[in-house]
Amino acid sequence: MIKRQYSLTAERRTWRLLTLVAIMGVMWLIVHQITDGVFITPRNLTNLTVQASITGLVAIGVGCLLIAREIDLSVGSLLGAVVVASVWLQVDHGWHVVPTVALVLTGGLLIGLFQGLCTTWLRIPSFVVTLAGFSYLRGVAYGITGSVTLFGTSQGFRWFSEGRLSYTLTFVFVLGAFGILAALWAHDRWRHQRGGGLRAIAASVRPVEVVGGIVAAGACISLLWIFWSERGLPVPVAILGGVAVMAVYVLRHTAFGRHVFAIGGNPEAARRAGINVAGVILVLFMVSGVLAALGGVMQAARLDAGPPTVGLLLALDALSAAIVGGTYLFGGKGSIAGILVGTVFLASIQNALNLEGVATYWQYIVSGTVLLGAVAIDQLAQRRIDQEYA
Amino acid sequence: MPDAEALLTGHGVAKSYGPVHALRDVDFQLMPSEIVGLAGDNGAGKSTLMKIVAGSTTPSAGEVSLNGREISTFDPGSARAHGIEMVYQDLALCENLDARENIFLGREPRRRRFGLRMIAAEQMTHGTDALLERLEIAIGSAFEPVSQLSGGQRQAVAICRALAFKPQLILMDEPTAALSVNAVAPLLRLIRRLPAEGAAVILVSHRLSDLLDVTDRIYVLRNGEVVADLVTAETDEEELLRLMAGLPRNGQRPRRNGAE
Amino acid sequence: MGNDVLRDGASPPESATTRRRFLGAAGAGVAGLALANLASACGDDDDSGGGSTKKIGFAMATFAVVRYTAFDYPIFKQTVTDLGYEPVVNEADDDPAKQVTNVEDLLSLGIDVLVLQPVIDKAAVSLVDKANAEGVPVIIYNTPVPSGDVEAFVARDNIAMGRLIAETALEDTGLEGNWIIIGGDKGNGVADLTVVGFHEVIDQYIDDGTMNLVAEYNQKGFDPDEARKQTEQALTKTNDDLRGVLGMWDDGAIGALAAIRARNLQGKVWLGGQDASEPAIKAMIQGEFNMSGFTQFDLMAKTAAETAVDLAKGKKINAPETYDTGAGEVPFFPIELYPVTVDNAVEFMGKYPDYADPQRILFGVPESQWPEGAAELLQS
Repeated sequence: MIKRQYSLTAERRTWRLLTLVAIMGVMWLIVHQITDGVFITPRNLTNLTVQASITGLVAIGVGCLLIAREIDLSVGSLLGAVVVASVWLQVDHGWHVVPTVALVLTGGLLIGLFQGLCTTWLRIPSFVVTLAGFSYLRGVAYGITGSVTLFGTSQGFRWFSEGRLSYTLTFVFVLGAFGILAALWAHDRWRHQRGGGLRAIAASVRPVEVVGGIVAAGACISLLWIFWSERGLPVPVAILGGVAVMAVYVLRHTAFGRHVFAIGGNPEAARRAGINVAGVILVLFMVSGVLAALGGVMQAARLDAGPPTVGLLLALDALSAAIVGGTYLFGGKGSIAGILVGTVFLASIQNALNLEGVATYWQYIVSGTVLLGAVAIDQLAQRRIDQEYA
Repeated sequence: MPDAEALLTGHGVAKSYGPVHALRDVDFQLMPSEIVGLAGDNGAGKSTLMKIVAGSTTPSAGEVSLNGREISTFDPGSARAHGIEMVYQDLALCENLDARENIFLGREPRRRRFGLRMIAAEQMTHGTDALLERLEIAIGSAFEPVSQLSGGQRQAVAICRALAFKPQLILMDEPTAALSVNAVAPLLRLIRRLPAEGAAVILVSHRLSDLLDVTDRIYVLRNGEVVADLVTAETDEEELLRLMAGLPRNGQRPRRNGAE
Repeated sequence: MGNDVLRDGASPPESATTRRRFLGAAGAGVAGLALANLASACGDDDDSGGGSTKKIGFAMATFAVVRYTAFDYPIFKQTVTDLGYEPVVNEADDDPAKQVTNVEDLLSLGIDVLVLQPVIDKAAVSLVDKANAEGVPVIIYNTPVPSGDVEAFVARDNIAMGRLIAETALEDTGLEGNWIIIGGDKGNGVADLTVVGFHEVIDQYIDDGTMNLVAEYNQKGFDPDEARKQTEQALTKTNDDLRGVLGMWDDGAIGALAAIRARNLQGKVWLGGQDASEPAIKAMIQGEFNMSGFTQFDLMAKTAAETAVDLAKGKKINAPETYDTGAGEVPFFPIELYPVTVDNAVEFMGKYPDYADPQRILFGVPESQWPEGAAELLQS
């Protein structure tokens, strides 16, 4: 007899995420005061979301790998190589935007495939494989142009960073994204109630879902307001949003997504259940590669130049964002929403300290402390829960 | 002697790992609604025999047939497709997934909607509900990760997973080994219900009291050979131990519970 | 299974309280956000920044070198404040991506003028465009950028600096024998131009055979350890017969000196660098280093600040020279170069005690080696 149709553990994780959002909200208010009302403005928040979108994209790729008990340390170097390559192809070889982007994305996919094969077929731990990638891909980045920074791409290419969607499209996109997620949730709940009608659905809604719904609605409205005031939804944010919605769908509503979690929880059990573990991991590596390459395209467009030194610490930023957002370092737990919140949270800290003219080393100190603090709080909370049940 | 109605038969099954003979010339059979136990000391060959039936290993000689069809060369996937399920000693559950997800792992029900393939989560939930109800198992929530369940409940979930797709045969490897004392009895009750669900059971256990409790028949293995094929009601622990140790059977009929 | 000891989810009182706490915090956060939105929507208007003082923004490349914290940053801030404006400064930790963020943030703070020290010169072109698009004029600082759309360029003339170092070497040694160049991070504007300056002087001596340029080394990320390793190789190649090292910057030249000391050749190899750092001056006093070119960074910062304020006031810029950026000529304020040798080291230390601390420099050097006037410095 199943007494409860919900999971306390899952709800606890959602509460944790909501708390993180709340803390971020409080932080925003405080910073807004300190910066004389600059922080919570459409302009700064647009900057913030654009600044966070590259890290967020890469964090999704790395985060999914983390859930499956793998890791990708090479994302920053891959991004750097793509930055150099995409500018080089256009400036030195006169390629157009579309073939350039197509080629570098394919490159990212192939690198991901290669690293995935090293991990699954040669059975080299992903830590080592991607650590190697961290090195040789950076070498490739330098080698493509011999450390020379090329610059001056085209308007079309810069669209990937500076472009804005029209007002109509902005509405459609933002409402559409939240709408899809809401529809998926509602559909699942309706099916579970087996024809009990709206009343049964309403009765099954949990407090955490109410609060989560309010926060999501608030976020949706806020995003609409921000981007409406600022010439429309920036392309990088749109790209991140699109990827995030797809990732949520795959992780939560497809068998593949369940398999990713299963592999993270117990790879041997997953294998015995007939899951093609190697195949899943291969796909995850390829996705991580493509997302890092896509981030590279956005970064190159943002710089309008191809310096090979970009992205040195990106892997750390992406991992921190994923972990602060609740992804478990040893696999099996995590969520896209968490990864996004973690990214925005850390980006907010950087943005805030920047606006106050604080030196970069302070930003590192704060980010590191936040990461450690978040994990420490998680551990302490978990220990308290374990003790209560012991 | 292979019986036309037997569910599972093995004939001259042998398995060697290099110079080590794990199994030598083993014959056995299993009827459709039987619970059969495998008893034997360490290294007697019980696990090897289970692995062959489950498709994890292929025999070096002999053949195994299911419903008359040869299955010696199967892999675990095909074995499962033919209705042979295994419950591992370590349960092979994913601790971070809940009961429904574990039960349907690798065989998630799907649906197409708007051209996309998604999991039919409610089918998983209702299927799990039905299984647990039928087997009279109580867990707090099928949505809670299995790491939150007790040992006995996790064992139950593993068995439900084995049952979920109407198997003909369930193999169980040391199911009570990791359980606390008061979890054993409910588990044994559960095992006894399995034939009613349409599955025959092969049970490996070193706890002879468990074997004597639930099985219909017991094969005793020693050094890779079947040294006895006993009807459970006609034997007792002492006899099993003697056979496992290689001592001859007593001539007398054994006593059980003081009754003659 | 009923009598199992199990965690079947009996909620302990603890999580109910924490849950309510979280609910409260979340609600407060969201409500607060909504209120703040309203407030700022009503309050702030088109000048997307708070406050009425005009702001001068300074996007620096890094803080990680002494000069920035000792000169550029404080002098800039002081000068701007003295002139009645508000300085807003950030730095990019040598990360070009971070610099984009920095400039965006400065612009959203509503600065009137941007002083930009590029991390990567070519990547700064788009930043100049970004600022100009918002009507914010740009002054380029320290490293030239290939864009003609800037109002002024304040820097040392890096080629002139290179020439100065090489000319001093020429005076001291005639540029004979085996030499190496420690060229800094290739691709960095300052490094590359300094090396161009070297060549302007030495090329004719290479051509006529007086000088043998054994190697021209570069050090990724300005890593002095690289310089040391490379010098070791050069010493091996020339069998310890190295006449001199043209260093693009002091840390690199000191790295070379370490290799030279290891072969006990100190004092026999001419060493020149740039920045007049404390280790270099110390080595000069010890007779193991010859010359370091100093750019008066305080002047650089002051000039940039004053020019920026002039721009903010709408005044016309009067620059002594122009600079060819490769994409157009821009008004150029070259900052005077100051060659430091053992002869004027004391004077230098006296002028810039915060930058070249006599205590630290003279520590460990036997008094017999101290130049004239050094002892008096310590007493002040």
